[in-house]
Formats: sequence, structure tokens, C-alpha cells
Amino acid sequence: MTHSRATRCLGAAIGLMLVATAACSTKKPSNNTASSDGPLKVGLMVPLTGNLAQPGGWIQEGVEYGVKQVNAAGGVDNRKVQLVTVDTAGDPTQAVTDANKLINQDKVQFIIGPITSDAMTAVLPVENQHGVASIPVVGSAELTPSKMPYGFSMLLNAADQAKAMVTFAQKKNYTRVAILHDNGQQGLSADGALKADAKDAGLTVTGDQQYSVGDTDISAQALSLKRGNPQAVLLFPTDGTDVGHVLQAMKNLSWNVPVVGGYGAHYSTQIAAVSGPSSMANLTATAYAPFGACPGQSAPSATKAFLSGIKAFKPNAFAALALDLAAASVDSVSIMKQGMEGAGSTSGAKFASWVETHSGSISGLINPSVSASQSSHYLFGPSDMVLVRPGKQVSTGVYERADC
Amino acid sequence: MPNLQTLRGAPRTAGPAWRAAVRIRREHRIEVTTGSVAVVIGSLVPFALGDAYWQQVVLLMDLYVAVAVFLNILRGEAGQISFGIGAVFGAGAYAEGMAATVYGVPYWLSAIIGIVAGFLFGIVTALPALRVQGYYLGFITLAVAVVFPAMLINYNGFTHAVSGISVTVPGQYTTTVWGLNWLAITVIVVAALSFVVHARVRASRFGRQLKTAAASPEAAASLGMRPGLLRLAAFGLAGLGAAVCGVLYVPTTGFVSPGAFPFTLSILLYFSVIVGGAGSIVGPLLGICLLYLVPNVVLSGLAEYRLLIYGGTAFVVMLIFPDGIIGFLRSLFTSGRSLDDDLGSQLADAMLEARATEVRRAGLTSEPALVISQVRRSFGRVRALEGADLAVRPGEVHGLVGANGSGKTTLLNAVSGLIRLDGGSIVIAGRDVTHMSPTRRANAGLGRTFQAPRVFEDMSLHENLDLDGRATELSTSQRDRWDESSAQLLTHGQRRLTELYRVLTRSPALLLLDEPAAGLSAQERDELGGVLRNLASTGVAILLVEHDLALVWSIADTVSVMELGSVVRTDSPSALASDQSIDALLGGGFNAQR
Amino acid sequence: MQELVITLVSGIGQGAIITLVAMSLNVLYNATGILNFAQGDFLVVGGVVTFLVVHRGTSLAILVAIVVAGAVLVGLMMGAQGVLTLARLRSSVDQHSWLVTTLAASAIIESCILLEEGPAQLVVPNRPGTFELAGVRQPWLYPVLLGLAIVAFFGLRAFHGHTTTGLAMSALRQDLDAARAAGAPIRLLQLAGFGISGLLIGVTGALAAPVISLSQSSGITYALSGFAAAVIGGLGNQLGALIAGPVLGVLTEVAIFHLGGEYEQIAPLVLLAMVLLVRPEGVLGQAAPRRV
Repeated sequence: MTHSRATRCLGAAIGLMLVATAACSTKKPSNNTASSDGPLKVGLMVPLTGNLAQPGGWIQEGVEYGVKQVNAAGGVDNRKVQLVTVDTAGDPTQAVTDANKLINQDKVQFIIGPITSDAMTAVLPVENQHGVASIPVVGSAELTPSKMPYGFSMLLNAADQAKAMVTFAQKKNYTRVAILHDNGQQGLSADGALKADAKDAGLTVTGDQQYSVGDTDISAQALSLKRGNPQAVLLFPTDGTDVGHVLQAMKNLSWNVPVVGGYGAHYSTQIAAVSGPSSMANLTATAYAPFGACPGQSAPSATKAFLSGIKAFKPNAFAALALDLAAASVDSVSIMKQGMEGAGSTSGAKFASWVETHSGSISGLINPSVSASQSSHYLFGPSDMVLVRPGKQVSTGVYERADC
Repeated sequence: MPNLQTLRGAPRTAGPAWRAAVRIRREHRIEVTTGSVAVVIGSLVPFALGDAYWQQVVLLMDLYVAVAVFLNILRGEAGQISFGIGAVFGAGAYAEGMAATVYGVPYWLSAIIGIVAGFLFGIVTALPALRVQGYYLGFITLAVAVVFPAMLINYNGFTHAVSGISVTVPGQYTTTVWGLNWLAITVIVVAALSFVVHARVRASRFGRQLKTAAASPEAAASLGMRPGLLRLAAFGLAGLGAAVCGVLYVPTTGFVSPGAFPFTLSILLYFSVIVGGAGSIVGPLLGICLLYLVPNVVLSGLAEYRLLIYGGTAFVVMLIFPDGIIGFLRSLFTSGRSLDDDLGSQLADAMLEARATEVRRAGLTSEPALVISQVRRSFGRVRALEGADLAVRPGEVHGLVGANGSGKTTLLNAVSGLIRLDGGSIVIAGRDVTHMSPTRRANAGLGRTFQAPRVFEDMSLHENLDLDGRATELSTSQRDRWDESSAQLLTHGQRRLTELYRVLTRSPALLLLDEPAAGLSAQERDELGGVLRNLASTGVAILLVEHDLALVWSIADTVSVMELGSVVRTDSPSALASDQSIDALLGGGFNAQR
Repeated sequence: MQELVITLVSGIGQGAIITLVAMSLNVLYNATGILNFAQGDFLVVGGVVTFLVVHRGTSLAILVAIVVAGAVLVGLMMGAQGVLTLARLRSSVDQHSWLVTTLAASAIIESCILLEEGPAQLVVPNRPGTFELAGVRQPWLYPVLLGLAIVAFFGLRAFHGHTTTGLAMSALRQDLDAARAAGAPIRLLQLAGFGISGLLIGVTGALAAPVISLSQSSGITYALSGFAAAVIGGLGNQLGALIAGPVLGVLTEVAIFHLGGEYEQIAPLVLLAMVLLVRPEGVLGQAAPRRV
């Protein structure tokens, strides 16, 4: 009967297709681990689509520049770095598949990324099982060194930022504060940290609101917080566009209190595009230390070299680039190089223990110091961050420090 | 007082031989085999080749295929549009993950917790299906799928949803042949068996009932089924399948977080079912290959174009194969058996043979089988029924005639229970059924046929005749022949007889017929008349709504005339024939037919 | 007092956008029985048109011209979608292939936005400016959009009630077979439905660009809100959509204000679920009768 013949053919076709695709993938010769010839393959796991695609792009640009710089200086142990990029799309299941591909198929020996805590939790078992070291971009307090033995985050930790923000509020003698944060992972972690730190510091939290990333109208949340009559707002955003909308909402309510922002509140170009340059008069934000300076001081030469270098490398992207995040990404590549050369191996365990014990001697291309240790796998700790005024640029990309 | 049980006679049981033989329908055997074999072989290849990356990809794909198959059962058999199955999958997975990690429960127990949690969540998403259908149901389930991950994150303190939960499972690293651990084997088996489950459901009585309820809830109710309960059962089955897959998902990827179950997963699964073909068994496998494997895995290098590829593939496939790919292939190759020319008389003979030999009456009784008293019903300003009275005795053929719009079909609907009454009562065999559901009335011995015959085209002729498996009088060769013929090929007259036959397999004591002769040829009409007279002689009470006055006058014992919602005259046919006023009422048409 | 102003003005303003999405969905639904999942993405496309042209110094005249151009462009794009979607449908509603093709269209448009403009949220300067009420500044666009919604409502009513094409399109909804038998050019009318729906959503997107979230991923949220409003008001019922949008908007603002921003997405869906469970045909809808 033709019917059964047809479906038999169909079944054979499906089976063949599965076999073919499986076979195609294993055509690559199976390398054993850590071959010391040929290029050093490094995986980059960032979202290029989805909600976090913009910071994903910034990190990608920074890492690509960093790879260029490291290769120009001879590479890692005389091996050129070859970048393999995958799109996690903000989906942790996809991240697992990607990590699997990078480690088992592409045979990478180091991974930069992913950039969300849940994706990192997802890929940790694969990375740990194969002993692959990584530099993710995460800020969750749950990712302790015992959970993440071979991973060191390049992001300013939400908990550290919260502490810095609360300390600043204390210094300014604010006793009543309100908390506003976005509904992304960093925002939710920061919310918890801010509440706890404020309580420890004896500050009263008069209100706590959240908004969705992408909202243009934050007036209801702002009004709700205004009712509590705080002296300052502690704001934890995703990026400058959110901050612009928050500031716009506050302006519409004629509500003019100081805003102390977490990372992203210093993206002044984005903020100005939404709420105008004058809206940042009362805004303070955390930033990586090399991007804050006092007026009259010139920016560190490493920062200036980076700025001109990356502008030449990616002229189209430069205007919208989050410069300090890109700088940290550049430094990740450099730190990877230093760690691998210092440990004399690409093995995750050796890399990790070397970095933990030698962090004082590591310095990034732009960020001068690294503060990882056995108890903290955050490359940039409280001493590597400053509070700046995004409304006042001292020079391109460098802002006036709040403690000047 | 005689009740319907005595009138009905001995209950019929379906022949065990017939039931046992058809576990999977013939036309599905190839698909089931193909699907299961493709899944097993395709999944084993990466293990044989030792490719860790592809091992994980195929296991993940197997799980998605299995969930899609269960969605296909829900969509293809029960006709329910649900965009929520990804959330059920996620609920099962997340509950298991939380139990295993946050609360430290051993895996086997947390797996059970996960399955139960997912199943219950599935039932919750099913509750709207009792009230709404179609796109509305799709929206509610889509809303559930959107809200589910958000709610998990909102209660982060309890669920640890923001950073997700990492789960390891005992025995994860104990491997057997080719690096297969118990988990991989379970996943592959579950995926391969899912096709078998679907085919079994389709071949079973439950599956036929699902299809009936999906195609026509009122026909289902008139055949004694409960459409609401059937829908819930379908959702329950799909939810159970999805929850099992969810519980297996957790150890396959080693972690769980709400980000893994966005509403787009439910949309992907729905797409896969439709692209493959909602009426097919193996369709979901093809759908997942095209919509997940190709964009996410095979073409993963072209990251920015992934969305474009996914959307483009789905769009193009749907343009070329609106019935799904398998549906299209089936339509190319299927040649069902064509119908016999004398099918109509075969059916009529079968009915006469089977039902005529049954003597129902325990004793002649003058207790009426049906009493309709003063029933009233309005639809807005339209008064459809205004105090209609009618009585039918057992063994009587009672004709109901009247002009269009006089309320005949409404009256039948009121007796069946498909519409509620504003006033009056209906008594069947001494029992007041005025407030009984149509299903209960059907189970109490009421049968009816509809103006547009309810024949279900995606089932075979035999399935249409014998939904419940009660028709033991059919010969094996007849059954086989009729099981291979699609009901799509039936003529209008054959559909009428099919519907009538089906009703008769339930041995009703009271039979309502809504314009059965419409569209029949002269010969078919005579056959029908013969069947009805025979039935009446065995004690069945028949209420016959008809426009074909010749038929009515030739077989009816009593005739009632309805006008503007009430019965104006009831008498024997001969008495009515000579009544001038009735003549005028019927517009002289009767005279022309005499 | 400020709370009331914020809640009402913001709620009605954002609600007007939802109403316009819902009305454009209804236009298409009434003509073809199809619910377009890509509608939210077309809203974003309209906004992108404005983004590409308007900057701080653009004159209002140019702004109006851009809005019109955006409307026409989206109308044409939806017409194209219509051609492809209807091409293989035998009977326009019974096959659910359109569920897949509209979702697929949504994915395709989103990817085009991503490839063209990148993943970042696009910010459009608010040329029409703001006004002050009870000490609170609100964008002029909010009352303007409400006005647009009302104008669109009456315009569509006039169209459907007084023009031949409009009457023919109404006929499609009521009895497709009768319309076909009466010689109505079904396909053309259905395409016109796509086109008009596109014009409406395009003008909304282009006009409301400064106050809506414009990115590759924001389309689906507007589509879902629009659906919710359309279904709550009664699918196909434009008066229902007109009322349901602002109600949803105000409800969302109240939920945010009193319960917190995490209920922003949930509030409209909860209302939708409640309405559907109590009165499935929507507040102003009519239960579809079925011949038994």
C-alpha cells in the first residue's frame, strides 16, 4: 500500500536526518584536553538577542578589543587567543546547550560570560565537571566560591554596590530613604541587599517599588514613593534609559530629592536622551574606579589609551558604548592571560587557586587592581568602585567623583 | 410503576474479541513505529559516537517531543487550544527542583512531588475549559504561561527563582552501554512511548468520546457523555505527561529556573504540533526538528538570525502545508477504502436485524413514555414555546408537524435538555426530567438525532456507528470494511442512517428524530420508514419532527400540529387529514401530496 | 489629589494606546476572524518610523507628516501579511494555521527590528511636550491619544455603517456564506481589513512613540494587553474596546501604586481571567448562538 510505503520513507528520512546531523557534528577530530599547540580557544557567552542584548553587545565589543590587545602583545603563552561567540538569548536552557557546545565541541579552555545569574547557575555543573575556568558577568550573592570554584565575576557585586550606596546615604545624613529597582535579577538581588544594609545602618526605608525594564511611565511608582517623604531615593536600574524615565517621572511630579544609583545610573548619554542633561543634577551613581576623577585631575593614562583605542576599533559603537563595562571586559581577557601564565596551566583549578592567592599582583589594562580572594570571587570589589556624578563629565567617559 | 430499565431490555456488552484486537488503529501503526524507531535511533547515535554535546541536545529534544505529543493529544483529539503546557512542564520541573534542593528531599520522592504538582497545575489551567473554548481558552492559557515565571520570581524568597536551582541526581554519573545513564534511558523510552500513548488513546473508547465532544458537545451529551468531564480528563492526561517530562528535564540539564519556561516555549510546542499536523501521531517530532533543532542547534552560529529563521520556517511551512506536513503527506498517499454502493440498505438491514429481534416490552403499558406539559421558553422577545403539551406512549410513532418557526426543533431541544425551560415540565417514563442535564437524560434512555447529522469526519465509518463498542451484531468483515472507510465519503442519506444507527446502539426507549427524511431519496425514505415502524413494534416511543408529510402520514400512529410555539391539535392521521383548518395551516401542501 | 491625577491621566493615556491596539485587532477580527499576534510588533514598527526621523528640533508639521507616513507604511505591511496569511486558507477561520502564521510574522518582524536597530530600547523625544495638572506634569500625548481613540471609534462606525465597503466588511462577520452568495469580493474585503487595521496601529505607533517602549521584545506585551482589552470588552465590539482600554490602564496604575510594580503585568491578565470566567463573551459581547 502506498500509504505505508510513504510513511516508511518519511520515517527513514527523519532517522537519516538525525543521524546525519549527529554525524556532521562529530566530524571534527576529537582533541584531548589542554593541547598546548595552536590557538587558545576562548568561549564568549553573551545574549545577542532578547532583553539583555544591549549589555551583551557591549561586553562582546570589550572582549573583542581585549583579545586584539592581548594578541598584539603576543597572546597567552605565545598562543593567539581565538574567540568563539555564542548567543544565550537570555535563556538559561540555551546557555546549558551553548556551554556544552563550547566545551565539548569547540574545545574552549576558558569562558567569558554568561551575564545572568540563572544562566551561570545553569552552566556551572558543565564547567565544573570539565574544570573550565570562567569570568562571568554576574552579581548574585548566591554564587559563592564554593558554588563557583573556577569562576570570577567581572561585575561590581550588587551587595557591594548596595553597601556603597547606603554608606554614601549615611555620610550625607539621610535617615529616610526609598528604594526603587527594576525587575531584573540584579535589581531583585540589590533590593534585598539594600533593605538589609539600610536596616543595619539604622536608616528607615519609607517605601520599596519596582518597575519593569522597558517601561516608559514610572509615575505611579514614583508617586507612591513620594508619599513616604524620603530624603533620598536608592535606585537600582538596568541601564541609563530606565534611569532617564525615573528622573523624568520625578520631574513631572516636581519631586526633587537626591537619587543614589547603582551600576547603570552613570550611563549619562542614555539618561540625557530621555530626560535631558539637567535632570542629572542630583544624581550619584556607582562606577568602576578608573572612570571617576576629580575636576582638574586628568584621567589615568590607561583609561585614555583605552578610550582612544576602542574608539578606533569600533567607531560606530563608541557613542552608545558603556565604557566602563567594556573596559572591565577588556580587563577580563588580560586577567585570563595573567592567570593562565601565572598558573602555568589552563586547568580551572590551577587558574582559580593562582588568582585567589596572587590577586594583588594582577592588574587589568584599565582597572589597576583586582580584589579576588578565597572568600570572594569578585574581581572588582568595594575598593575598585567609586561613586560619581553622571551629570558632570571631567573628560570623555570619565565622571566627577562624588567625594571630591 | 414500569421504568425505563424494563422497557429497555437486556444491556448489551461489546464483544471482547473486537475490543482486544484494535489496540492501535491500522492507519496509525506505521506512524507510531516510525516515530518510536526514529526517536530511539536518533537518540542513541550521539551516545554511540560519544559526542557529549549532541547527547544533551537529543535528550532535550526527546523531552520537548514528548511534551509536544501530549499537547497533540490535547489539541488533535480533544480539540482544546492550550498555550499553557509549557507552564505545566515548568511547574513539574520547578516543584521537583525545589523539593530536591531547597528542602533536601531524595530524588525519587521529589520526582513524585513534581509530577503531582505539575498535574494539579495542569488541572488548574484546565478549569477555564469548562467555561470557554477556542481562542478564549488559548488566551487564558497564554496568560497563565506569561504569569507563571513572573510569579515564581515574585516569590523569590520561597522559590529562589532569581538565580535558579542547581540539581544533581543520584546515579547521574553511573553509565552503562555507550555512556547511557538511567536518566538518558528513561528519557528516550518516555519519548518513544509517547507516540504509543497517543495512538492507544486514539483507538480507545475514551479517544472516540474526546473526538465526539470536541466536534459536537451537544451530540456528545445526547449520547450520554459529559463533555466537560472529558475535556478535564484530556487536560489531565496532557498535564500528567508534561509533568513527567518536567521532572525528567531537571536532571537532564542539571538546573531549573523560571527563565527556562517562558511563554515562548508553549508557543514553540504549539507550533510544532501544528506544523507537523494536528491530526497526526508523528507530527510533533517533525515539528520539533524543524522549529527547535534547525534554528537553535544546527544553525546556532547565525545567532542574530535565529529569530528570523524560526519565524520564517514556521511561516513558510504553514503557507505550503496548512494541514501540517504530515497531514499533507497523508492526503497525498491515503487511499481509504471506498464505500459500497448499497451502503444505505446495508445499514438499514443491520438496524432492522439487530434491533428488530429485541423485544423490549415487559408488558404493554399505557403509561406514557413522554409527557410534555405547558412548556414555555422565550429567547429575548421571541416566544419560541408557549404552553406546548404533548404525550407519547411506548410503541407509538408520534409525528410532529408545523410550519417553519413553529417551535418544533425547540421543543425537541427542550426534551433533550439542550435548552432550559422558562416554565412547564417534561416527564420521561414517570420521571420528571425538567431539571436534568442532557447527559443524564441520555443515560436514562433518551436518544435523538439532529437536523444536521452529526457524523464525525475524522473517524472511520465504523467508529461513527459504534462509538461505545456495543454493536455486536455486525459481522467481522463488515466491521473491518467499515473501519477502513472514512466518514468523509458518506452521502447525506448515509449520514442520517449512520447517526440513527449510532443512537440505536444505546437501546433508547424514547427516540427523538429531527427531520430525518430531509435530503433522502425515495428509496432511503422507505427504508427509514420501515426501520421506524419496526422499532415502534418493539416498544420504542418515537417522536418524529418532519416536513415530509407523506412519510409522517404513512408511519405515524398520532400526529400533533404545532403553531407559534404551542400544539394546536393532536389526533390520528386520518382524522387530521379531513380537517379543513389543518389543511389551511399547512398551506395546502398536504393536499398536493395526497 | 496627585494620586488621582496620576492614576487617571496615566491610566487613561496608556489605556488609550491599549484601546487603539484592541480596536485594530477588532477590525481585523471582524473582517477575517483572525487574531493577529503580530499586532504589537506593528505598533513598534510605527514607533520606529518616528524614531528614525524625529529629533528634538523637528517641527510639528513634519511630525504629523511622519505619523501619516508611518500609518501608511504599516498599513501596506499588514496588507502584505494579509496576502500571505490568507493565501492558503480555504475557509478563513476554521484552519488554525493563522495562529502559527501570525506568531511567525511576529517573530520575523521582531528579528528585522533587531537586525536593523539593534537590541536597545529606542528613545523618541517628546515633541508635543507636557502640560501641568494639580502640580503634576503629564505628556500632551495622553489626551491626544484618547482623542485619537475616540475619533477612530466614530470613524470606524461611520465607515462600517455608511460606506459600501464598510457594510460589506460587516457582512463578512455576520454571515460569511451569505456575503459570498451575495457576490461580495471576500478576499479583497479581508485584505482591506488587514490594511485598515494596519493604518490604525501604524498611526498609533507613530504618534505614541515617545510614550511606548520601543524594542524588539516589547511587541508581545502590547499584543497581550490589546487582546486582554478586546476580549474583556467583547471580541469584535469596538465600544467594548474603547471602554476596556482605559479601564485596564487605570487598574494597572492603581495596582502599581498600591501593590507595587510587580503586579504591572499581572493585573490586566487577572482581570481578563475574571471576566472570562464570569462572562466569557466579554462585557459588551454577545454570546454566539449556535444552531443545534
